[in-house]
Amino acid sequence: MNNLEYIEDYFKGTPTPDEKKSFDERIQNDTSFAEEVAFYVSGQQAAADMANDERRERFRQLNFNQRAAQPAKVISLRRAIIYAAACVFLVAVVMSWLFFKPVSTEKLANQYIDSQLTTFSVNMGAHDNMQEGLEQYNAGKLEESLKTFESIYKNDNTKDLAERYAGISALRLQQYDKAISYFEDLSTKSLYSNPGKFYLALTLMKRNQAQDKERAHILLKEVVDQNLEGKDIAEQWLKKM
Amino acid sequence: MINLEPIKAIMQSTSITDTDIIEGLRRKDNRHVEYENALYLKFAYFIEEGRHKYSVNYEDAFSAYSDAVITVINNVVNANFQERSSLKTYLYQIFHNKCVDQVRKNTTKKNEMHHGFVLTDALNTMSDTSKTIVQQLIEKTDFDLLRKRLSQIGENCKQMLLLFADGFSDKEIATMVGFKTAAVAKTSRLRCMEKLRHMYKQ
Repeated sequence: MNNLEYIEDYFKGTPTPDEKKSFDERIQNDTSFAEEVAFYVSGQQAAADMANDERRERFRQLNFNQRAAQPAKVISLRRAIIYAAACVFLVAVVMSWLFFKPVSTEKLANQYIDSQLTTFSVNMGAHDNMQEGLEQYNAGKLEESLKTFESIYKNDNTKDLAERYAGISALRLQQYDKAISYFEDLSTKSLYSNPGKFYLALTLMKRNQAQDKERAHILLKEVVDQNLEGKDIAEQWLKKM
Repeated sequence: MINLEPIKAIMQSTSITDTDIIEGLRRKDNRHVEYENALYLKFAYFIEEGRHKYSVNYEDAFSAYSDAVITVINNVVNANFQERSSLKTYLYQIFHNKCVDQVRKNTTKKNEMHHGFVLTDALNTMSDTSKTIVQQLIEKTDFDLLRKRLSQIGENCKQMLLLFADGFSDKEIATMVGFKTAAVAKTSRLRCMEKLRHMYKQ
């Protein structure tokens, strides 16, 4: 006990040269004292090591608690938020692309032809070449109807309706050049209700060759600006093109 | 399980600064553990950084970080930290060195590493001859047995010996353990040391 206190006072204090000399002499001459000094230092070391080991263990628990308490779910939640945001963004991009992407002009033309140009009303009372042509057209006999309408128009080029149906028949038969020719001619005529430019635009949309879309766009704008027949449809198409 | 609330309270109430931590560690009262934990938590993100930067596994990064924090605590308590840099910079430098050690696989065993720290300080006050004699005797010490006896000595004794080895004065130990004076604490502590010696020799 006395020796331990003496040893500690030596290490913790500021020994004078005489005290140092006396301490050294005791170590060198007294094995038992030297062992006590060694034990004191070893004991301090062991205690310091144990204190640090306890810290390490505390930090390990702290680390475990912290990771268990907050981050696992927070991280997964963060990831979920990121994934959700990415999905929303992706959906928004796809939706906006679908919504704003230019619709195929050929598709628009097909939809219109299928819904509006497959049958025409027939005058049940009368039976002339025009009615015959319309009946052929409605029956899907397009080549026959084309010949009938062309025949009527050749005989009387004031028969604008025959020219119109001849153009439509040619369009249905995918004889685009012929259809274009009829509709171009029709569009130049001074009629109360002239669908020439609209059908011309429709034919170009359906043909869908180089420059056709651009030409159709110009024609549809003219239809709208000049308040020609097909204006309502032309406005809708212009928004989608 | 460690109660995180007091540590969170310390860290959140004032957005704890370097000065808070340094003063908390140097105050050496019953709350010093909370400040050690606060220091640990404040820069715990170093572990993940170390993992990626040095390509070590999590356990090695955690171990390097724990050792770095312990070194900083010891240096702060013993006034070896001069406050010329921020705690973050200081800790990161030490953590970096520990990680490099892990990478090089040059880390010595913990006991050996810490032995150097205390033993050098203590033995440097003696003449070379005395130092050699004591060092040779220390080398014969069975540290595993000594630590085992230390863990068996009783909670109060262990606490006093660990606090003293950690740099706490007898006055501070008296306050923490509940003795009236520093002298009483010192007498009790030295009795514990003597008891440890007897247990070790048995």
